[in-house]
Amino acid sequence: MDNGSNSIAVIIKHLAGNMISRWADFLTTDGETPDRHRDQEFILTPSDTRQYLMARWETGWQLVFGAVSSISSINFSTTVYIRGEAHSVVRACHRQMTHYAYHVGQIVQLSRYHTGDNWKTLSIPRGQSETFNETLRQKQMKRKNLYDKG
Amino acid sequence: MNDEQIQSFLDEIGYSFHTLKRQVEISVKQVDDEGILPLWTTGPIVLR
Repeated sequence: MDNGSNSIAVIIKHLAGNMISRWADFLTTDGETPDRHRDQEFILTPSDTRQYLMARWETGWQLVFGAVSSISSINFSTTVYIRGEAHSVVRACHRQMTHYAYHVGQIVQLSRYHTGDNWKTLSIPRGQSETFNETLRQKQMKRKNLYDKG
Repeated sequence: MNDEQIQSFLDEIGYSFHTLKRQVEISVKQVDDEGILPLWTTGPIVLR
């Protein structure tokens, strides 16, 4: 990792800024809000304490979940704008999903790097795919048998 | 999309967002457990 790489804190700050801008008024205003200062999201200042950044992070996610839960068949055909570019609701959601997944992957990788040998994988442990598949298959068979008997 | 398909899409996208959030929380907790605090200090972006 070089000094130009973003830290976990910076990525958290950037994601929170993006979420707050994109989802606060998801269906009604351009997702790039005038009060957003994207470049500043990559610079940590003295006020960017962990407590502050995590509060922003939570605010961002609550806006995401709130916006998604506010969508229905009534407003689903609304055109969403991001930097003046028109998006369907589906496209706007996918745009954000892929962006967040990209940065979440970076955070996971950085966390793994920092944690070292004590890292516990979020996925199937290396070399254990076959065991995992077999365990899953057995669980599914057991469930199917119970269902068939019921 | 009909109503059912729309709801299915929203359920799936909501679940995926929750999963992403959870992945970060689980990862950062592991870093915390190692006691690596400089990640959250201010100043230059130094990872170690």
